[in-house]
Amino acid sequence: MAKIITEKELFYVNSKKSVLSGIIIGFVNGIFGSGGGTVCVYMLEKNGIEPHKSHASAVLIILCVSIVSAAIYFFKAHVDFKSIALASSGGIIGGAAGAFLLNKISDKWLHIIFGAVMILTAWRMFL
Amino acid sequence: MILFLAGLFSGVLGGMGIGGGVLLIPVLTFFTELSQQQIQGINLMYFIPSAAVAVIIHRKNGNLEVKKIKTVVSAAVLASIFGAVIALSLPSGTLKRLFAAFLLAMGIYELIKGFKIKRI
Repeated sequence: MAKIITEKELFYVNSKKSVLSGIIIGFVNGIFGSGGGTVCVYMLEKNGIEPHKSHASAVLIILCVSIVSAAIYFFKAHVDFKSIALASSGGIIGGAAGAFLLNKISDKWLHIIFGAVMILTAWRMFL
Repeated sequence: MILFLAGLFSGVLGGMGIGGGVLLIPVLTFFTELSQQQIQGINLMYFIPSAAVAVIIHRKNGNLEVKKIKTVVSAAVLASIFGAVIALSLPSGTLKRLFAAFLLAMGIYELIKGFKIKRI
């Protein structure tokens, strides 16, 4: 059976909007060293990719982006190896746990609590 | 120890695709003396192994849409070079405040998103 490609799918394979989304995601993740993932999930979801698949695909997109910007930061910002190793070892364990949980947990309160924490943190950081 | 715990916690969120780094960065800003650029660099490098693990698991669960994201990935990689160069040319304090403003916007977005979800 031939697969019917929807308009939204086509749009994501190759179009100006797709390039624009990529530029925004990449720029945000490059300048802030984070956050591109959230922007990415938003854009993928808006263009018809299911939430769970958007989350998973966003991780892949940001992985590619981060490899490139991490190299630039590494050479210019003098990042300390021990700090990276410590944070990364925690990150590997946590990342696996998070990916397993993605298919099991409902996320209404996760977003609300996470959002509130972010707003408080932003305020504290601005001072 | 704070680095390990911060990494662990952020990894759980990051693996679920809701921006673990967005929490790791402020935690490191509060508890270490590193510059904003160094912290962002740590986050990017920290993200690589944890994301690689997450991607493998997502692939097994069939949640990756590789074909649909090719163009987005290419554009994003190029734009990230530009973003990183700008970040590295700013003073640490300025970048920190820009980050805080970004964090505020993201927090509001997460709240709205959370309230929009009907099921509990």
